[in-house]
Amino acid sequence: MPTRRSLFLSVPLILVGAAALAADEASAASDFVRQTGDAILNIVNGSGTMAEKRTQLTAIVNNAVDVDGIGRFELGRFWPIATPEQRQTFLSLFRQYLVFNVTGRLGQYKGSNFTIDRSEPLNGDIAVSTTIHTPGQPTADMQWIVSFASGKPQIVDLVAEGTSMRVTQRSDYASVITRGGGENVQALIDALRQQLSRMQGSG
Amino acid sequence: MRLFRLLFAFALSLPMLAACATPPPASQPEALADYRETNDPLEPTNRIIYEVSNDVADVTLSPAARAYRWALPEGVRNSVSNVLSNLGSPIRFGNDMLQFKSRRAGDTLMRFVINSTVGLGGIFDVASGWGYPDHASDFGMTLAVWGSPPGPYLFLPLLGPTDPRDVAGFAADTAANPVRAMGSGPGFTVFNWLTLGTTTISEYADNLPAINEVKRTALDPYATFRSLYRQHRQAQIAAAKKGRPATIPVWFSLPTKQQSE
Repeated sequence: MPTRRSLFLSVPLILVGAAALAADEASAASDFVRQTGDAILNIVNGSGTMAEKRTQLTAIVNNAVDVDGIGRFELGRFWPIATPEQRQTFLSLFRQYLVFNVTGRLGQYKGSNFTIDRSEPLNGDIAVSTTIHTPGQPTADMQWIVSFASGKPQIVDLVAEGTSMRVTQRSDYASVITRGGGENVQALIDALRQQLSRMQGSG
Repeated sequence: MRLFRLLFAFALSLPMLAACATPPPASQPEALADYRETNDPLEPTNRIIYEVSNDVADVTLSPAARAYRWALPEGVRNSVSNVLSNLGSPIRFGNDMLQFKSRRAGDTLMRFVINSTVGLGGIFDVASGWGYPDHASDFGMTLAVWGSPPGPYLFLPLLGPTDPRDVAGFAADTAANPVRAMGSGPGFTVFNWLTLGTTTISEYADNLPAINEVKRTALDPYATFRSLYRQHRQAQIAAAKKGRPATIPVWFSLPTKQQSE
């Protein structure tokens, strides 16, 4: 009974293959986090004007982070009810917010370094655990969630002390939308726009 | 005493504030699922308590925490929280045992022994470096490990973000405080109040940067704190349920490593 035997053999083979693939992705994800982290710290600790550093960091965010994917996740159940214009406006505002949030922390990580502790599969993605050491501050544990869904590794979430950035922000956004009266995505867009102008004004 | 009058007025008005959120109609299943997941039926009341607590903290806890951060360098502040954490070890040990997590209980016990002696009464956290990591353990977590659901979200004066399970846990842990069992009298009373006061200010000061960051970046800080609290507790409970798996001791695996090299 060759077919049954091959079937019998192929199950463990597939399992072994899947495990090998996951192990490949796990090490690729940890390499990716190492490279991205090094690139960010090189910019932060390097010479160059603030404007130059911001431009360089923006390029890294746009390249290494799945900004649109995170934005879509955070809009959650409101994504389908948003009009195409609202989606586009939201994603563009969200990108500006994320970039501003990352580049606004330039000074905070001066002199930092990090170690990669482990890398393991988590709900279809890879969670890379790191410890960040910053002079004069307590060490911080941070998990970088790396997805291979687009074919290349991209950061889709940051988890600190069990709290996920994108899950937290999704609750924040959902609350703004439902409290805006009648589930209107426009309420979120207005709030984001206001927040951006406030951040740009103060920073 | 403007503050006390404010608190008194607030306590009197509590029954009037007990307003409930209206659940979405069954014709909107996604909205209804969202409402159930958020599990915050007392949201209107909770939001008022959140606002008032923030206003009270702005004139009491926040300046105290800022002064504490200003007056003491980070090393000293860490020592203070180490000592306080060490004092909480017996309660953590008891809860580890009630959760049937012997390895975590062993960690807590070793931490208490090492840090109380080598760590000079808990000033230095020597045990972490020696392979006995710190972990959270309280009666709220014990109830969760036993299978109790969290219940609806609550924002309470003084306690902040919580739920009925954690309120019960907080009450049980406070009642089980071993210093209480050691005796009573002015000395113990002063000690208990001093510990409570220092713990409150030290914890608030440690969390102040994170709290300010949320208030600065969140569109709706109330909803953001709610989500952060829930996720943080879920992660702590998941860690407790998982326990600490048995591993091969370092001294046992060392010789084989050397042979293979």
